[in-house]
Amino acid sequence: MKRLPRQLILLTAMLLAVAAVFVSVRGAQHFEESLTAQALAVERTIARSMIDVIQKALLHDIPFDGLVGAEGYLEAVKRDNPGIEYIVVSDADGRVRYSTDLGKVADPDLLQRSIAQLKAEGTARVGKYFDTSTPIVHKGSTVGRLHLGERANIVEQLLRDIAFDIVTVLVVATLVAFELVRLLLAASFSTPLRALQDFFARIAAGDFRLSLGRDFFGGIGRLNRPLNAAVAEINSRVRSLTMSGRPPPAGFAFDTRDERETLRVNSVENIRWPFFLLIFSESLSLSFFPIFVGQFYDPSFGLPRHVMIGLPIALFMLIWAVAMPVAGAWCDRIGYRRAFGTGAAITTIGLILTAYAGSMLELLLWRSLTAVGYGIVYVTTQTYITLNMPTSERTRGMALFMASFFAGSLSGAAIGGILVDRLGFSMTFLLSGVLSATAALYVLRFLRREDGKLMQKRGLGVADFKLLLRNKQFAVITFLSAVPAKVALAGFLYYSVPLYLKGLGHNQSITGRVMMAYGLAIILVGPLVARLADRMQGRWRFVMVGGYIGAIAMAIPLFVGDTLGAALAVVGLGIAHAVSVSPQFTLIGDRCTDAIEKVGQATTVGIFRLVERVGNITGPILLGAMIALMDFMGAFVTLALFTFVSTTAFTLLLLWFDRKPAELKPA
Amino acid sequence: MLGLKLPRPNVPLWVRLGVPISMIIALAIALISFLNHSNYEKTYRQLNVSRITVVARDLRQAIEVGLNVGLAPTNNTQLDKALAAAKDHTEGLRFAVVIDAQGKRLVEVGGAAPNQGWLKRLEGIGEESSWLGEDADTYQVGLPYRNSFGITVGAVILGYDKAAIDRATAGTRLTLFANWLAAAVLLTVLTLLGVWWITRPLESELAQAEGALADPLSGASIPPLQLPLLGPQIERGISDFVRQSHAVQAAMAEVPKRSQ
Amino acid sequence: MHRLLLAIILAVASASTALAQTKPFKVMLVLFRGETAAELGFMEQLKARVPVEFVIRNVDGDRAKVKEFVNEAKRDRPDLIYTFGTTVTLDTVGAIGAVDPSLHIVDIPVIFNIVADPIGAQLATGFTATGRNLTGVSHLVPMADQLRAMQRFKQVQRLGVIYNPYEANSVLAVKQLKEHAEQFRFVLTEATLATAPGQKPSPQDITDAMQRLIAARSDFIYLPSDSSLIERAATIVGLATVARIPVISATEGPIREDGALMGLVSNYSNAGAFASYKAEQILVGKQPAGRIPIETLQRFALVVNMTTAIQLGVYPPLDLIKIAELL
Repeated sequence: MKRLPRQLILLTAMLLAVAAVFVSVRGAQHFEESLTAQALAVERTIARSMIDVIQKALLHDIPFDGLVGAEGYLEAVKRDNPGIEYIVVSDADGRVRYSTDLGKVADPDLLQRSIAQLKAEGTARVGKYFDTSTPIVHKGSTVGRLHLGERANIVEQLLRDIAFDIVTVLVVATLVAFELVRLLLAASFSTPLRALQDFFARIAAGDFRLSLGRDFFGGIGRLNRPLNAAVAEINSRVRSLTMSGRPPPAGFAFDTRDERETLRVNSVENIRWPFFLLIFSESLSLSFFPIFVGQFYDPSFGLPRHVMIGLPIALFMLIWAVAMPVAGAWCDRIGYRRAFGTGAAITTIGLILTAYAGSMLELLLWRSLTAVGYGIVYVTTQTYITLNMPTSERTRGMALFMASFFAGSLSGAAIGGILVDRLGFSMTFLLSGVLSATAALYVLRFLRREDGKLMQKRGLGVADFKLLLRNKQFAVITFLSAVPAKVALAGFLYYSVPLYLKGLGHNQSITGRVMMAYGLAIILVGPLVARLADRMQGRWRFVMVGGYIGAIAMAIPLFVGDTLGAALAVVGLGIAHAVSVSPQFTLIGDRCTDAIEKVGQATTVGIFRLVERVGNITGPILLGAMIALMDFMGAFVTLALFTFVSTTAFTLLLLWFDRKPAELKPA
Repeated sequence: MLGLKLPRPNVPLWVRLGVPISMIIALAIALISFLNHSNYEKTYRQLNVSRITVVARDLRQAIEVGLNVGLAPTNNTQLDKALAAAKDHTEGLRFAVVIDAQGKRLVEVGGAAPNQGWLKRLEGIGEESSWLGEDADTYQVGLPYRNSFGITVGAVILGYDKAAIDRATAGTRLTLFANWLAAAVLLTVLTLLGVWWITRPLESELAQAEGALADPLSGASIPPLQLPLLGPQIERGISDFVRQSHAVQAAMAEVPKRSQ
Repeated sequence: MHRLLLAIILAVASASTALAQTKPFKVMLVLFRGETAAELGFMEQLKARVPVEFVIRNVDGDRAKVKEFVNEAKRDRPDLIYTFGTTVTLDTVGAIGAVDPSLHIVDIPVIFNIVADPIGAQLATGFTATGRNLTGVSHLVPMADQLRAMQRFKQVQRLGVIYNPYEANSVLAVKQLKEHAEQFRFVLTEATLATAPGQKPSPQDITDAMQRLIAARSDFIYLPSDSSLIERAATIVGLATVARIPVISATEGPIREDGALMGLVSNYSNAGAFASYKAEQILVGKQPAGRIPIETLQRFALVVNMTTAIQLGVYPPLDLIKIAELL
């Protein structure tokens, strides 16, 4: 049954690619004509400007053949207008008199011949170029012609300039499309299939109590109706039997009280895609948030501009981190369906209010609110996935979670950038709110209600922290693997790399592209590796390997300089984290079971993520200090060494924990 | 959510899957078209800005050359000639105005509306070498000019026709929409076809299973099922279900006999 | 950019000062040879922006009169003094190290204009703030700029200069030419006029000097900003033209009126406007004159005599035609 969804995804991918190419090419053909016309109008204007100069010279009786510095002048104009490929001044007979360096021109002979023939004013196609010809008039007669040549494939060049943007949108569109298709397919195939399997297992054991859910997708769930009809019929017959005093058949279980309980199977997809939608909606503002905040700059706070702008962002991170353990404890108490729903609702309110924020203070308040919702949703989703995937697939579940997170983040940021130009800040925030509300509604409607697995807790306490942190395995995994990874993430990727690239002279967009590579590595490599990790024993090995890959990655700029080195390092770090971050989390689930039992699953998640965030916060500060002391290369090497050492310590300690007890000597 | 609005399962699977999938692809393609149009519009506008800036630079030079020899823009006959020539030869140019450092209009050709707020733009220009602006009818390019000891003492502003540019880009919007529509229709057909083709085997298996479950309580035995896609678990499960149903029926039919 | 801001601040300040100050500023002008375009530029610009009263005193070539006006200034205490030329300025404020409060003005701000070489004249140590009650505008066009413009017309390997060794401006020009000879790769031939100090050169002196330059096969001849030579410009240029040698002039007159080929020249009225800008900083901005640096203009006029150009077959290059004043 796995083949069918794959075939459908393949079909979607192919059609998407073909349609994208079709639309872009048709569009390009259309653009070509009008953009070419505009570009040629620019050429004509430049030509006019040059003719004025030449004619002024002629007016003062400088002979046409004696124009001093003509080549230099032509070259200067060509330099100032990069679209121009050649400039030629021909005499009345069409012979080339002055020109720019024709060395790089394709087929200069054709050019010379064409110029001899081009007597009319206007534009003509000459080989690979458009030639704009203007007459030079002196005392009523044409003494020569000015020819400006521009590449004919204007649109191709323009498209090349925005090629990366197109690719970005393609990538984003693909990510979004696949998330939705995956959901559709899960609802149509894999979820009903699992329900059926579960149902049939119960029936085989004689349990006729449960019926299957109503199916809306017409896939495998189509079988639910006849099955339910049969079960309902059987149960009603049994009931009428018992009502007339007779005992029901032995060895079976029936729905004697007509409760019609439904068998529900939890699909991880049910929470994955609303989570993706929520992260996507929140990320819409990522690309323009600093600019948006800049509007609210209020000198009366007494803080410099850059600090003020960083404030809402820092506050968001802080509250997000702090909210997580609290949210986790809360989720353990009230269950994840309600927790996610509430979290999404809070985020929605926060986003809508941000759209209408009027001052810095309001902005800070609403961002904090949004951060609370964000934290709740983050913790809830992780917990849900952990509880609802079989242990053998847990790592893959985590990897898919991370992939959804980054996919939502990347897609949202890219699309947000495009939307905000058209819709403006407020509308984009409102749109975010609408999308996150959709996520909330979906979860509330479709997620399984809780059943008795809730903990009787009294909220988060210091005892919870102590319990977890005292657990040796938890401490080792967290402090020697998770925190260093976050130090690398925040300190290296988010802080140093942009600075390093800026120092090399690059602008924002190049930096953005390099950073995207990290997210893409996580999205693409993560699930693949996680599948392996689930299959193999010893998840900790993946964490170790990831740690070492990360150490090597961060040392790359030492050997490969410039942008390439940075890009490779970022990709390497992405792969390293793709390999290690998901197994890290599952490792905790594996090795700290008793602590988790006492503290609660969601609480553990929350506390783990909070402590991890320590790495996020200290990362930039540490790196900043290192760069100040040792400059970039030194800082990178130190970080690489630090990662290497902590990974080694992690490995050794885990091996130590796992050692078999000493053989008892025979008496 | 999606399912709430769908009618009862009489609509075949390939439609139920095909339509949402094609909608998703259509949405993605719409986004790409939107982006392409956006970039086209930006480029179109930028080309016009470049064109007008060439003219503006020449005019600024004429002003500054005049200042070099002590001619204010109001006394500069060469400048007057240059302004007239610019107006005649530059397509779409509506006006060219020279202002001083107080925003007062010194020389102008064409008709520029009053109260343009140019002084504010000039004062706020910072490190930039020019500014871009607009009013109801025109897009504008403003270039400051300096005197011979380096002080900015005014600006020259050129305004060009807005309507023509907006019309051009709007026209493209329509064409792109038509392209998108054509693509959407085409891909819907292809998607439905493809989905139908892919889900055909499953359809036939589901039909088989539904046939087997048509009347499980009738007591009739079902033929052996061949459900390679659904899997052996389901094959077994269905026959188990039928078997168990028969067993229950049989048990219920027995009971009255026993209780007698 | 900060200059625009300053200009605007001054505009606002002057407007408000104008309101607050009903009494106009008193500015005294001490001139050497009457009102030139520089003074007109100065007065026009200042009058438009600030309430001001001008008191004009002209020594009319007689250096001794400066003392008289200095004493007048000491009595009447104007808000600002404007001086024209090196001689007048020196006698008004004194050279560095030779300032005598009994002879010179030390406590009223003085702006000089049309002083070619304030450093050589010992008025200041550099183109910076002087620290005393003096600032001003030099109308000198930097020699490097002039030579660069000249090279655009013709490759010059031998440059000739005709000069009067007793005229400060001449001597300064020759000194600067020598300093730049290596950078611009020419050999300088100096033709000193055999004139007695204080006397004007005779036509014979000039012909002799020119013959020497022509014999040295100069590619170009430099005519400094020396009034005694400028008076004889027609002769100088005439001789050069016959020998088909173009002349670069440091001032506009010989190009416009006497047929020198080209020159990169200051515009006097712009210099006056610049001086007025500094005056505003002192009067309205309340800045001490000692903190305002001495400066030259930043942009100059390239003047070309096209008749001569056609005669000699030496033309301005195309990119300069755009910005040149073609006569």
